[in-house]
Amino acid sequence: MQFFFEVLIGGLLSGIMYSLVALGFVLIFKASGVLNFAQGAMVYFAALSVVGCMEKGAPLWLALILAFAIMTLLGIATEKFVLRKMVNQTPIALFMATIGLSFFIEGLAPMLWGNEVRPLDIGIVDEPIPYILDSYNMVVSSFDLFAAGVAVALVAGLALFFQYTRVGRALRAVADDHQAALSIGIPLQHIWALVWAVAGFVALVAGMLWGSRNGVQYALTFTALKALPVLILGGFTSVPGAIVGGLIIGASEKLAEIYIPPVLAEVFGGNFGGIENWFPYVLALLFLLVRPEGLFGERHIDRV
Amino acid sequence: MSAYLSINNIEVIYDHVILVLKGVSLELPKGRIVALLGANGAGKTTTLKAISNLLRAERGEVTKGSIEFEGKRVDQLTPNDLVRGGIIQVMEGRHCFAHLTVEENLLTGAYTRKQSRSELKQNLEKVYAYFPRLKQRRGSQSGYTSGGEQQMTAIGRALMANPRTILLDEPSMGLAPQIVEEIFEIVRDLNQREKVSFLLAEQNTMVALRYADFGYILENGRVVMEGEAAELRDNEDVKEFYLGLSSHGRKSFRDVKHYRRRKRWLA
Repeated sequence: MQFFFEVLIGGLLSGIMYSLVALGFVLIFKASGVLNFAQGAMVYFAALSVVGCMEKGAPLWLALILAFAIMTLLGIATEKFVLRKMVNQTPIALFMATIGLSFFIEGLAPMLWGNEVRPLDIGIVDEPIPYILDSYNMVVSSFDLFAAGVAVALVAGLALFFQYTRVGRALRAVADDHQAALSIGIPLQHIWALVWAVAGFVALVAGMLWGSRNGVQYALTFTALKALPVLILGGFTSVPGAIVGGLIIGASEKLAEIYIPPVLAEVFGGNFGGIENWFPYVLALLFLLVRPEGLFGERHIDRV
Repeated sequence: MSAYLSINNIEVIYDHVILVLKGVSLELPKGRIVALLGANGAGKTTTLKAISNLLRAERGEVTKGSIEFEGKRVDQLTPNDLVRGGIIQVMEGRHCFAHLTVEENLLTGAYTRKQSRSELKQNLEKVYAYFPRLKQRRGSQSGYTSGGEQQMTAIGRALMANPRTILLDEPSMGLAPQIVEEIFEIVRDLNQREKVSFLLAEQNTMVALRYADFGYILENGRVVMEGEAAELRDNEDVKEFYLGLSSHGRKSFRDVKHYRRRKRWLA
């Protein structure tokens, strides 16, 4: 039973890491109704910018600020050169534009900062917390706990922002209907630049945490793939959904990895390792059949 | 009666090729309701969008002529500038934010205004006073409200920006006659009590001419006729082609002629 809890907690905490990436998708989806294919590339770019600035001699705090400035500029440039031309186009056209953007960023990042794998040290050690290890004999990483704390703070902040502020309301309005938002004087340009900058910030946070765990490398762009099942479960439009989805995906994939292979091996014989690599996608697929809008997503409203 | 909003001979081209307005001129005097009438595709919506500058988002462009509001040219301003300046469009088909509640919809309308919480609250109560039905439904997602309620939400949302001129596009669309009357009564009320001027695009000529002071008839991107509303109502051509009345009163389908009266404005 203790082992079960250890796996569960480990899963939940790693799930939070997925949530961080998923959050960036949710922000942009909420404000422009488009799935931002470039979110993974943004995570990579942000982490690389931090490492790059540090190599040039900047301390961590300065590197973070510089990277945030770079991500904000990227957001503004995206609005100016990509989105502004795409007002009132279909979501699929916008989606394809973000695919192009992701290629652009994936090319730009190594050009600016080089492409070798680099470590990133943000000063938090990835070690079991001694207190929990001693008293409960469970391994819970202090790094994971820190990541979870960051994610929860970020989500709480963003959820409040969307629900209760004037700009948050405007963002949701834009997501529902660009044209109507335009007609009542909401400046789409500002709103989009803002939301891309915020998504850049979230990408920065995700990039820091993922980068310091796995090293800053091109593979960071693939974190986006793990965010997809999280989004499907939690709902594309819900900030808290990203967290809950992440928790479910993280916990279920780790538990599946531990508990399903022995059962399968007993029935079919052979080796069934590596379930956690595909389990989330199967779960997402099943979920799509039952509840396509996700747990907390906005239902599609059709008037008949 | 000085011209307050005036459009001078504008031409609008979509996508660089499609000529939609071929020289439209019209005037909206201060504090009046002016109706813009015409069939589908006549250019009513395009005219309104040219004023509110929502054209740009649809790849449309005013290529000739000018639009003036309170003596200043406004054809290069963004919708945001125009809303701040006092002109707002209520789009055809209502366009409420479906996932926002009715109240949130109204609040988004105040986006361009810098005001304190209490002023905002006051403003909201004023809109609720005009649309008591919205107050009852303030907490429901507007996507689930009825068509009439959505139209009210759309007009109320525009009111929250405190406009002096509302460009109202096809408010009767898809609504029961009784609701249409209700909405037009509110429009008249707003016009008289809040001194909001309305430029009203309508296909429902009968209703529009009953509430408007003045009317323009558009056909194929041109103004083919204009006049006081009462005058238009009595015009033989308008009766025949827009009101479905002939000189002998309402027409019976038994007597439908196989040839049509010639439109005299085609000359």
